[in-house]
Amino acid sequence: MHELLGVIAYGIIGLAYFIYLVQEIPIIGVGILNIFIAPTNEEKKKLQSIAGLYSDGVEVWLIVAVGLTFAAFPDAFGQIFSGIYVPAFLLLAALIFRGLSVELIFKDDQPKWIKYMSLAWSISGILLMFVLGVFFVSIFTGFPYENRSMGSNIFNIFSTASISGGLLMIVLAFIIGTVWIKLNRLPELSDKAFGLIKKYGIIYAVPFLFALVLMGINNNVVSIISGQLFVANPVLIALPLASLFFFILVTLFSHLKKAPFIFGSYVLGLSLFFISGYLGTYPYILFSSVAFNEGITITESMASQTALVVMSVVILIVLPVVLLYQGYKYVYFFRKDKH
Amino acid sequence: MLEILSRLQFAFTVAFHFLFVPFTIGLIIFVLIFEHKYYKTDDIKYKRLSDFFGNLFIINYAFGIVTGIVMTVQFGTNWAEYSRAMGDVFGSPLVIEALLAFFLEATFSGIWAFRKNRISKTFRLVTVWMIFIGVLLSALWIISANGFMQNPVGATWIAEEGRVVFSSFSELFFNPYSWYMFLHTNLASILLTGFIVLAISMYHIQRKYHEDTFKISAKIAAWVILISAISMPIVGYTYMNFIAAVQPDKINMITNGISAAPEVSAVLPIIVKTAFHSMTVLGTIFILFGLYVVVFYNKVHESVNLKKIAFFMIPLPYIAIITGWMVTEMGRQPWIIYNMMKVSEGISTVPVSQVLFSIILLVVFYVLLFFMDYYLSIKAIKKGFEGEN
Repeated sequence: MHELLGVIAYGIIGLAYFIYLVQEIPIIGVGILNIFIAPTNEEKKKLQSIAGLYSDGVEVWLIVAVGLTFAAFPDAFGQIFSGIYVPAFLLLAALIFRGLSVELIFKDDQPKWIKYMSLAWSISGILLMFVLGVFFVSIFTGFPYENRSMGSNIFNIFSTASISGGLLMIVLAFIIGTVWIKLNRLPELSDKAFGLIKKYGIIYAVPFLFALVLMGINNNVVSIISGQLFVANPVLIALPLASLFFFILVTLFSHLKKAPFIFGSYVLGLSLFFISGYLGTYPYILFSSVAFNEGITITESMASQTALVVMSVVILIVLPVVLLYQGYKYVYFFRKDKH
Repeated sequence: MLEILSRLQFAFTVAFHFLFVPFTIGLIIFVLIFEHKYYKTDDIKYKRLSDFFGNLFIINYAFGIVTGIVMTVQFGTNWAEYSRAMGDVFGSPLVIEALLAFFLEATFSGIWAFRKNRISKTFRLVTVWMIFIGVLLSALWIISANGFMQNPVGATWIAEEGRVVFSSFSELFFNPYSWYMFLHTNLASILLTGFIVLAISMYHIQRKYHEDTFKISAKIAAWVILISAISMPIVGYTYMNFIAAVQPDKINMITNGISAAPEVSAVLPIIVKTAFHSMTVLGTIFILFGLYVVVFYNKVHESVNLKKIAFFMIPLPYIAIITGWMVTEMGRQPWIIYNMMKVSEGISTVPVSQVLFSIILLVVFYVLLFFMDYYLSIKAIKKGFEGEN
């Protein structure tokens, strides 16, 4: 029972991170694109309106994932975040400026204010995407964790795979941000954005970067498929391959400018990537890339049964309600904005 | 060195975060009052007030949110040992806070910020209610975590593992310490906001800008100040009696300026004592001021001096809040979890240079944020009602 609750909590952390990222990428993308495609205030306001409406609600999913890691796996939480100390503060800096810029860009009409805020909106988005990409790929392919420490070298979580992950998120933000603009019926702006991402070849980078992530070219030898479950069931390799397939479709549909199809392939690709990642690290909550048995497992670090029961009950009751009203918000405003 | 830096960083970031928290807690209550009145009477004056103060809410809420995330992540980065020891108990309130409270606040404040002029009156009211409920729940859960650290009930300390293990949710939830803190903190937040709303209203009344409308908010603010200022010592007194039983050393610091704990330096209890007495003196001033404004309400509008006084009063409730927290947090030293774990045992082992890096980064950013918030808030206050200048 206790262990089962631990595994469920682990799954829900993965789910919360996924729900966060899948919504964050389009919204951040809109922000990043603002300095490239929206020179006028009127255009920027349109972008702000389709990003700002959702951004706070989306960010809470990140807090839930981080908070749940704290709650369900306290030791792993402390070890992960103190281990990635500097990247964690870069993430915070990005979150601070993204959060403020999208809300406050038009709270003052001085051109200088708007200029710097729109720049902050774009740059914080790029930084946020990069750090998140590095973070997730490190979760999936392991941290350089040994003797209860990640060492004092702040660059040690950067590897070919994790940097590719960071770049992949930036590239996806450009593409899915474009799609989000299109889906929100802003045709002139989405045409400009499509022009940009095709002209600079951004759409072609997706499968290439994702392949680098999958190959797990690392400071070490671990990849997304070297975990226990993949070794025991080689058929699971179909999952990351399927996600690669969908990321190839993202490129293909971007080439054809088919917004709904790009979005669908993106959601499927990203979800399969997360499922592969979380299956790959099982049973570790902190996966070590330098020595498997140095990692921290779910059972080793899970909270007491009482704590897990309380959390599970709350999650079981509240999570569906949250999904319902947040989902309804998208439906309601998509319909309303149509008129 | 590492311990001092980690403590400094936490104190700095939490104090900065708390500049925005009480103001937004109080503001959403004012907005709720105005929005209700608007819903019932259809009077445009209330809508103007609701939009105006709602805009101030959004600005400060944005700063509150981003500085709040720093707090969550910081438990992992700088207080890994504390997180390991405390996770079993702290985790649940934190998750409940995010799920119940943050989602409500964030989802609906997005609607308020970006669509309030395009939705129906009923939807507007529902939106403000949802933000209000979210704000209250958020305060409740984070305080229940802090209440546990002051008065650890509902869990047992496993000495050989160096961590607490959760045993009873109801004991944690009904911890009297938390409820006293919850009441005290919310009243303080309402009081603080009363002062700010009064000063803003007086400013506009003096410059004869929508006088009738701002007289409404000034009157409500005056009553809010008086009622919350009188309630403070009543709650505070029973709160003190309770503390005397569970944290006698804190009372010792407050009354005698000394501590029985050998780790505590001689200066700290004196600071606690001074902070406590500053808070009570300020509390008395607030009651007198509230009485004056309510009794001589009709004169108040004409008085240029009172407008100035109201403006210069604004820092005082902030100081009272900070001194209150100083008593709460310094008064429980050396414990991070009272009588269980010491602050020095809670820190992460990270290189000192990295903590220095984060402190410098945070100080630079927060100074910038402070000026941004100040600039935008003043600008929004001076601007008055949207499109009606």
